Amino acid sequence: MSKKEFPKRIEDNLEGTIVFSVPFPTGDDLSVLKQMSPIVSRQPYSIDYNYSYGQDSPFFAALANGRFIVCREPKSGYTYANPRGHDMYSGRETEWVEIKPEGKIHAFTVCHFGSEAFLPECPYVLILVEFEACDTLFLGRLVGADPEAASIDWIGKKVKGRFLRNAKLKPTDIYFNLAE
Amino acid sequence: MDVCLAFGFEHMSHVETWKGNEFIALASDVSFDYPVGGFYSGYYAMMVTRHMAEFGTTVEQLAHVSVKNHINAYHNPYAQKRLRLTVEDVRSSPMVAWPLTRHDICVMSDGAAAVIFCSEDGLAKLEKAAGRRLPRVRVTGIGRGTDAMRMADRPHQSYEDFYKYNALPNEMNDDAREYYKGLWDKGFRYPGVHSFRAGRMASREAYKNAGIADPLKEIDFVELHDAYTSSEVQTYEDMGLCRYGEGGPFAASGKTFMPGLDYGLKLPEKPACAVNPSGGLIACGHPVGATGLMQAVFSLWQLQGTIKKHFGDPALQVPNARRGAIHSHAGTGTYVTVSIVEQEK
Repeated sequence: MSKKEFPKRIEDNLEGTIVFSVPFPTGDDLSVLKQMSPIVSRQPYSIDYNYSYGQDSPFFAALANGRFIVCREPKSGYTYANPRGHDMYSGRETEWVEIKPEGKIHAFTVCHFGSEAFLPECPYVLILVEFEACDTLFLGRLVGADPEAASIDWIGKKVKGRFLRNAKLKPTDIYFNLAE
Repeated sequence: MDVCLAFGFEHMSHVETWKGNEFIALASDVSFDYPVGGFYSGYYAMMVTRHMAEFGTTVEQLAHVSVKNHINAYHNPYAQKRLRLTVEDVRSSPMVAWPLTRHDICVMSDGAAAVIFCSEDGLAKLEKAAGRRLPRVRVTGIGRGTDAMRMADRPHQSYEDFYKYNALPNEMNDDAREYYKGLWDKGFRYPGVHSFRAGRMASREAYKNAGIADPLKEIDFVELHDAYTSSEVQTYEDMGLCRYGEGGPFAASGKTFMPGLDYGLKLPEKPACAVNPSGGLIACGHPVGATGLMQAVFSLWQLQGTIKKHFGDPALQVPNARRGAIHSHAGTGTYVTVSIVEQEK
């Protein structure tokens, strides 16, 4: 053992969870502790995470350049509006194809609540867009429509994609306006 | 393995609902759905608007599911939300994701459930050890189905493929073929976002294993995944309790209600197959890791005829319950299982 002296006491500080006057029986009878409600403490929690877009990366690079690319299986022509490296029917590799981000609303909702990250943006409109050149749909935000005027008549309306000027490398680098 | 304990639990009250929404949304697509503002209520609400546009389903029809399940839960002491609601209450509660209101959607829950599965030898051992024999329940069919994780990726297949791969035995007749041909002629495509192909394929496989040809007539009750009133309506169709497109009127028909309970509704038809007699996820709660087993426990008690014993109230005992179905649903309909459970004859 080293002869060096180390402090034996942990100094109190004012960081993290601090509690005062936690109730506890003063006598010897500890049986009441079985009736004690659970202690609940609120703690902040965050992590940094390196998330890779992998083979989907060209899609985000295209958005950052104001272009919209989709994935097509060359033999059948089946086209995915979201990036997909291989066709779900044949397993064959797909190729990137550029299309105009113009289509119509297939389905929609107005989110009056949401995940915590999006609460400040409520109410916002989500739409599934049908592109003529694609066999699958694309989820995007509809901007410029009155969320309080939601109506089933919105389905079928034409929409046109717009790109953020300063890309954030998110699928929201493209959003949609009503074309009519 | 002769005796197997299956248990599940979930603590969802440790975070606010909005943070819970975030965690749950991260269980689905994280590159293209979640960052756009996705959360499950939003995803299911988009299914609803398509269902409404495609079939004319109304929000009042959806609300019938909420009224039914909350009033059922009124008699279930294990339920989280025991409420006597009206259609008006459901529609006037705060809007979450148009057109789904707070009473159309389940809440965050804490909960746990467990069941014991046994082989015949295992059951004999347990009965010997316990010194008594409880009414036996047999699992006679299990089916599972899958689909693309992102609902946007689900196909829009043809009438011919629907009949080749997805139709149920009770749809293999001229009347059903003509009905579906009419839907396809009007632009219907399957499954799209309005239907759960995974739920259909799970039902198809389970029915085949259990020898069920006409589910509405041959199943006495169903415990199914009603995290949303709309998902119950979609599931009626997937499970073949009615045809695709008829889920809305079916929900308001009375066929899925419990006999003998007062729902305060004018229901045109008599109960035929009780759906979510327990109150379902929307009223009992949806502690995700426990939900499927919770459905199994309630189904077991129905078939053992012990609802009165466990609930202290006989109101939710399905009369002459001989055969039930349990429908468990994961993701946005990405993975679904259906299990058929029956009283041992």
